[in-house]
Amino acid sequence: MSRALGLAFLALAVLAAAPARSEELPGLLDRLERSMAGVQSVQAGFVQVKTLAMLREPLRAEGRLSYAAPDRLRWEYNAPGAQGFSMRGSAGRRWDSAGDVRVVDLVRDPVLGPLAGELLAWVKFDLEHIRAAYAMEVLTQDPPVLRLRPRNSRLSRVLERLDLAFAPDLRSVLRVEYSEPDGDVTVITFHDTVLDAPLWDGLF
Amino acid sequence: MRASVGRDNGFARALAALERLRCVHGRLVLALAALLVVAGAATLLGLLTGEDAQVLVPDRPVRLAGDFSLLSRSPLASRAFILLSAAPGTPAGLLDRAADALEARLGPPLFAAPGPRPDGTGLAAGLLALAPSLVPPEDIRTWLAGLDRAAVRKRVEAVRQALASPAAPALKPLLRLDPLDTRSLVLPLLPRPGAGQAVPDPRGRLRSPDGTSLILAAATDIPFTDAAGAERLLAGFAQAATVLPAGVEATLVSGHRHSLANARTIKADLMRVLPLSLLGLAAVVFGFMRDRGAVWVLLAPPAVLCLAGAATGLIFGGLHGIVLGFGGVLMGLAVDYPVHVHYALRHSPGPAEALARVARPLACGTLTSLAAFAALLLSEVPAIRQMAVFSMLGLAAALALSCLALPQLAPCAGGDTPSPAACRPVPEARARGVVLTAWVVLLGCLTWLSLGLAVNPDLASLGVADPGVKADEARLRVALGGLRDRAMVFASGPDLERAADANAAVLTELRRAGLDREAWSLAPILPPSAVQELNREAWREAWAGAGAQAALRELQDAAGDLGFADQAFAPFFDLAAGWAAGRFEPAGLDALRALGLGQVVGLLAHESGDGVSFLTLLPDTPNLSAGPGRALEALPGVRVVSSAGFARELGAALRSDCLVFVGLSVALVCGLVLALFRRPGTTAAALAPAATGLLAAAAGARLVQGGLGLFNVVALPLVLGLAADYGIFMVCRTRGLEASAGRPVLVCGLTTLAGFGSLAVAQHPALRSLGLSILLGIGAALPTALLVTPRLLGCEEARRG
Repeated sequence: MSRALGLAFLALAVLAAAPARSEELPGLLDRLERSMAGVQSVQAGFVQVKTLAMLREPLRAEGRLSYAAPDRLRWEYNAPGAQGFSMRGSAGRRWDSAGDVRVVDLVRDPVLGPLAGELLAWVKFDLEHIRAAYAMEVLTQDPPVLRLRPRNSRLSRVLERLDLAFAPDLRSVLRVEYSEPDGDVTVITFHDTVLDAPLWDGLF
Repeated sequence: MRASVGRDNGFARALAALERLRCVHGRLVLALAALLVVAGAATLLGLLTGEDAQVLVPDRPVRLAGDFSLLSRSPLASRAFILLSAAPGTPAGLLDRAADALEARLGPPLFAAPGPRPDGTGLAAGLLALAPSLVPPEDIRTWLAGLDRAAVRKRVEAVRQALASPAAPALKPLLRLDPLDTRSLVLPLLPRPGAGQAVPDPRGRLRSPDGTSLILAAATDIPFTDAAGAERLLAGFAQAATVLPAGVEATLVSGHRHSLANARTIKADLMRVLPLSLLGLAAVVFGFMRDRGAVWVLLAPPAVLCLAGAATGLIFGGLHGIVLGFGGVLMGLAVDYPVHVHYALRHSPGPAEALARVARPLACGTLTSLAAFAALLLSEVPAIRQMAVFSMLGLAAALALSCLALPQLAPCAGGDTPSPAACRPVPEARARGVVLTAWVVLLGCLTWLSLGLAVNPDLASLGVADPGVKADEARLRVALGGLRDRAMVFASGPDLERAADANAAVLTELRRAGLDREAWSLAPILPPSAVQELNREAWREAWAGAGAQAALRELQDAAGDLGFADQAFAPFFDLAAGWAAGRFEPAGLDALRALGLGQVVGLLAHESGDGVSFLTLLPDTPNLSAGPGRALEALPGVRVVSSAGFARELGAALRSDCLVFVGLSVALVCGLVLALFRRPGTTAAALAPAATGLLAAAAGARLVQGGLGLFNVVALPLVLGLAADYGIFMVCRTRGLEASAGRPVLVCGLTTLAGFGSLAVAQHPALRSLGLSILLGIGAALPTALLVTPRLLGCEEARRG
């Protein structure tokens, strides 16, 4: 799994990060930036488990992520219901299990727009943007795990912290875990990651 | 003949009385004049009232003035718009974050504190609380009737699906509060401009049609005519904009930038032109006069400015900056009378003889100039009427100072009266023919060049067209999608309730005309309180009814079946219980602001000490005023203002104004000169400089500026008055009434050209057009007076044998 993929999930979760306290942080970010540079496309499957106060049991979902540089992205769930969204620049589509497909102007959509914008910034590994929006710290070096906390109050209302576990080669993210201020927790585990393979343009 | 003798006796008696006053109370007169000038200067400083453009707009007919007042007070005109733009490919949320950061820095004292800004779901939740007051009874009844078991279950499944999505953390509070999507009843009521216009986003900010720009409408207490305040405002904005992230730029567009650009240009112009003017004026006066009396001649214009300015300010309760600016030009007129008196003193054995020599042409000149300016009193433009009074008082003050004070200060030099042979024209027949032919050709050319001259009613053409400001305004226009070009329907009332009533009536009328979908109005989310009360009662009945209670039971069952926790939708059940019990929140301006709609409310509602006005924006179509506009204006408290229609009416009013007062000025001056000389030939000779000057000024305005601007129009009577004076003095000289007129006329013309013609090189359009008119008008009138008038008189004498 690519660095882009892993970082994208930070945003998908409505993302965050925390003050860089560790002396190891600059070195890790530098290595991440170098190892993830030049990725042109990403495909990966994922399993998402949400533990929410609104539901009696954890909510499990499976899906797939596709990304093509510089600004195309598709995030879809296959089970339990088919839903998701895709974007190409500022134009987007979203669909639900009832088969309702809507064209979305991501610039105007108050929820999906910022989310997609954050995601794209992470996919491109825009370190300047990430540093501005999140405070970061290194939780462990082996395996490498970063913890992020949002600096901005709008994000911190929906996201308390987010932990990213990277593969040892730093080319992909294995696991994302994010916690919300009300105690709800989401864990996303990625599998079958393919980097730089050709992607069908119709996906987006 | 008897009337003439009587008039001459009266004139002689007036002169004798003047002379007695000067001889007996000379020192007292001087002291009084000095005191008045000092007092006038002090009063003048306290009476300056800024540069409110309202005085440049006709106040008759009343409708035009009222429309301008509404337009200038409308939020779209008075707010400072901040355009935030991002480069293509910038992440979608970056502009919002940049706007958050910028707004956090734009607080008091320069800008009003920004209101709350909810996120997208916060606005929906807030509107849900207002839904009972806003949603019409039939809508809630129909909606609840469709909420059967299947529909409820489908919505709960949609909630569960939404919880799985990446956006769930942001959506969760709204999903708990409104699982049945009740908000769908109220969201369509939000004000939305027509297609292609900037639209308010869910956080209450305007977003450009292409989505690449955000527009913040910032309120400020600094009037856009306050140049010093504008400088502070723009500096504060530039400082705040340093917080913007890379890739985002912010541009402030408002009248403040125009004011500052104008103030800076005028300042630079004055720094350059004023020294040149004063040097030129002094060079002419001292070059020709060469005695200490010249100092007093030079001091007369500023003294006149103080006296006339103070008196005008007292009459009108204040003096507009533009009128004072015009006063600078009046100084060109005010220097003429002292010049004539000064020359008469130099060539007379005593003050009494000197005054007797110039009294008649001075009196006639003053009368013609007064007549020229008196016609301006009929103008429909308040500033022009102020200028007329200012000029007339200035003329009177100049005449009084010249006749009463100057003889005390610049005593007679002793009678070196030029011999009649040296004064009277002896035009040879051949030279006369050449000069007159050339003049006739010149008149023909000027007439041809003046054909098709039109009045330019564009007030913006009076100001500096800063290219940077223009470009930014064009960008804002594109970003707003023409929002500022829409017709405005003002619904006003002495209080919020009556204004809301009028606004609701506007919406009803627009629905009848099929225009409501194109209208941008607060009426749907701010109905009158009586309507809100009816809506709430229907809402309470609906939620207390069996249908709603059944839907709530279905919701509970479906939630249990789909694995939701018992308290998952507790906020909604509490809300519904409150509705059934009649606990509601009324909709008002503050409630809408609290939702984060402050920007939209600020643009579509205006509260002042006079009451409340609501604004509805409509497409400005040519048939608006004829059809729906007429029906709207029949409603109490409603006025329709179309920008395009306003410009048309303003143009028509200024054109008619110009024709009336220029025509009347010309008629009055011609009548007075005819009454003075009583012979058509002599009258024509006296008026030749005025005709040439007017035509030259008109031709210049057409060639250089493409039309007559407001300041050209005002300069015309000035040129007319000055040029008529030259003609009168030259005729009097030729007829032996004032033997030394040739030199003073030359000096008067040169002082005007040196002093105020230099304004023609100014950068500011108003100063430049004024300077251009004077330069061309006086530049043509002066040689006509010196060369053509005596030869025309020669023809007249030859004709009479």
